[in-house]
Amino acid sequence: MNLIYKTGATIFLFLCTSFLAVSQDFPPWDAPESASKVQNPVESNKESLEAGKAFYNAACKACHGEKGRGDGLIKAANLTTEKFLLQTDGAIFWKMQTGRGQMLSFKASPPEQIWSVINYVRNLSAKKAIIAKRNAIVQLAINKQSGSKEVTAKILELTSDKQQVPLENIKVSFFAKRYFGNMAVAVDAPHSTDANGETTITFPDGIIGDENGALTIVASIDDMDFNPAETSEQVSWGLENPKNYWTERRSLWKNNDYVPIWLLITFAGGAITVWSFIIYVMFQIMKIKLIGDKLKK
Amino acid sequence: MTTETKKFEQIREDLIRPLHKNTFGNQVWIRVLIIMILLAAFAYGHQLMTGLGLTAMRDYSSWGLYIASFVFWVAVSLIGSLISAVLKLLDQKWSTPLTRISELIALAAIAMAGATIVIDMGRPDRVLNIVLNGRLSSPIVWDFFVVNTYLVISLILLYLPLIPDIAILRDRMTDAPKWQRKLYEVLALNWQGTKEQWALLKKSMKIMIILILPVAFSIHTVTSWLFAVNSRAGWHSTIFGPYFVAGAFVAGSAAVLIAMYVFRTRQKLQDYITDDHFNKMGKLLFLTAMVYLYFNINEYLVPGYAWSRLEGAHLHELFFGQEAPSFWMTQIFGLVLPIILLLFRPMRKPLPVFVIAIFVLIGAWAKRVLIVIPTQFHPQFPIQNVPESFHHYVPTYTELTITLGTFAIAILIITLLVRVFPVVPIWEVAEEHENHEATATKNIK
Ligand code: HEC
Repeated sequence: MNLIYKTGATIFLFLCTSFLAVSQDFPPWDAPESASKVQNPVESNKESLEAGKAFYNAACKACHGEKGRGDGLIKAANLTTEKFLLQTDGAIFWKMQTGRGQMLSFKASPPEQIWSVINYVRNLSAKKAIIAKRNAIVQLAINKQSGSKEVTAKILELTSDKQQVPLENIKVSFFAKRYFGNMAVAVDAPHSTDANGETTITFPDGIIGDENGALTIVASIDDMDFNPAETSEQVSWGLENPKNYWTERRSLWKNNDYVPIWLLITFAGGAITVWSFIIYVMFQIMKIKLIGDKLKK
Repeated sequence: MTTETKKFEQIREDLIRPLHKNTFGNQVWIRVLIIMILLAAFAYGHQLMTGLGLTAMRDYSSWGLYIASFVFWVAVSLIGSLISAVLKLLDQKWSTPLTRISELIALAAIAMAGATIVIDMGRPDRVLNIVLNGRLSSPIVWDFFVVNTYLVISLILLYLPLIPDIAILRDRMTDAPKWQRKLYEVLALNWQGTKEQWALLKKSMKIMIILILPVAFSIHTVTSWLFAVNSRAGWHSTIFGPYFVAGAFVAGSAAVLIAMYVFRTRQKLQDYITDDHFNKMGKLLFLTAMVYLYFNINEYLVPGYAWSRLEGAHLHELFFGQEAPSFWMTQIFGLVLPIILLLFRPMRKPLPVFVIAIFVLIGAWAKRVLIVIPTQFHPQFPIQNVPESFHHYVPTYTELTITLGTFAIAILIITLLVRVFPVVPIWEVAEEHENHEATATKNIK
């Protein structure tokens, strides 16, 4: 649901705003003195950055782009310029609450969320010392017992001495593989690993698989300290996809390979009938001429 | 026998006479048309190079004046089938002198319908894609097919009854310029009027007259489906097919009345296009307009009674909103008043009925604009976050010039054709005048 909602919202935003992808720069925009003085109460730590990132990806990325350069689906402000970074967190907070033109007002969002996203946005352009990220792997255990659809992901750190150590408190995301990209599942709550490095979800019912109901489950981590890692596993928990129902069936909205028979017969029948008469009459006209030619001789 | 023979000769001379003189007025007229066409060609060249941004068509009103005019042209072209086919099959002999006029109008109109569609395309060089890659399920593909078929049928139906007339011209117009004589020579197909040739001709005409009917109905029904199959307020209506066909006969009858009046006065054909013809055509216009009024009432009253969200917004715009002045003027001056006036015999005299027909024809065109454009401003999702200019459609000078140009081309086609061919079919009229086929045949020999 969440994914559908987000995709829908993104498409809608795109439709509504893409006309306005004008190439001009935005006019200056200054926050009032008093707003600029407000301090950011949320510390820029891992937790806040992760929350900020999640919020950014859901609510800002479409316009401001993955890296905040203002190169999303529409032209938006670049959040990595020096000029932008020189303003205080308070000023940015005020702008996000106020909004201007295409930039929405986020007054309705909880303040901590906004402060977190500000932390994250600042982090986007921070010249980070290249810290080598650590490596982790994801393992999936599927409870094959009939009835339960439990999936357990286990996150293990690959230490430099080739050891595999369970990692606690790492957020894991679960997906079902689709034609285009992955669909998030079990999004009702965050899933963090326990002391054994494990977290378990119940895979939802009613997801369409392939012709035989086979589905691919994906588990991945996206943690600031670790390189991205994911793994996938096939299960047979999906609904059978009546694939040929959609792809093989003739229908009005299909391409010419799947034209409904009735349409084909009506169209071709009409065309052939009408044109055979036309051609027949053309022959008659030719005959008229042939008779005339003979008489002339 | 001898009197009949004389009659035929007289008819022949009367109807050929106008072809001999190229009047000053005619020459000026042709030049005016050519200037209009050149202006339009210039505007079109500009549009071709700059793109459709030159028009007022934008995201919401992506169909504008061109498509409205296209529908108008298709509508007018249907008259060929009404006069030449419906009336003939119903044995309405009085309409014989009007057949050629209606076929000329049909040909010019359907040619302009095709041209207008191409004009509406940003990349006309891709027009063949509709044949190569068109989706058979799309009404646009059907429309492309029927418009072209109708064009061919109209051409044949104009040409067939012309053959014996061209043979007469070939024999009589010996003083015509060389190219013109050559034209007659070629197009007459060595017509000698033998029994066999007559038999072939009559059979072919019969086939075409019957064939044109289903094609004529499909062309305008399919044109209406271009709108009706969309789930849009003001378009998504089950009666759109018959509604369009009925409206087409109104527009076409009006066009024929106008042409009748012009040719009668310019070519002095009072004996052939008589007051009675105007009277009868006036009645025909009345009849078609009544049918169209009936469809109009259905088309507006039923959704108007329900007044659902989008339909209501759309109808509000037409009845009381911005479009109200043009809507009511079109309905009153283009439909209701003509109907009332045509009830009275004096109003069916040539001049009054000519004036009424002009109003009806303008109304018919305006009605197409009102069908095509306002609906587009009531989409399912509200119009938001778009520039102010996307909220309405006012055609630009480019569009107006090009559209006027297509009118000029249509009129020029007719003008040029009646310069070389008789407006009133000679042998058919002679036949009507109780001459037997044999007599006519003998004399042509
Ligand atoms: C609908 C597209 C859109 C979305 C979604 C959006 N923005 Fe913006 N944003 C803009 C545009 C366009 C501007 C430039 C507005 C102007 O200057 O007139 C802007 C301006 C800004 C500015 C001010 C830049 C400056 O020059 O100081 C900030 C800060 C900002 N956005 C942050 C965010 C954040 C954080 C989010 C997500 C919570 C977000 N925006 C979501 C389009 C968007």
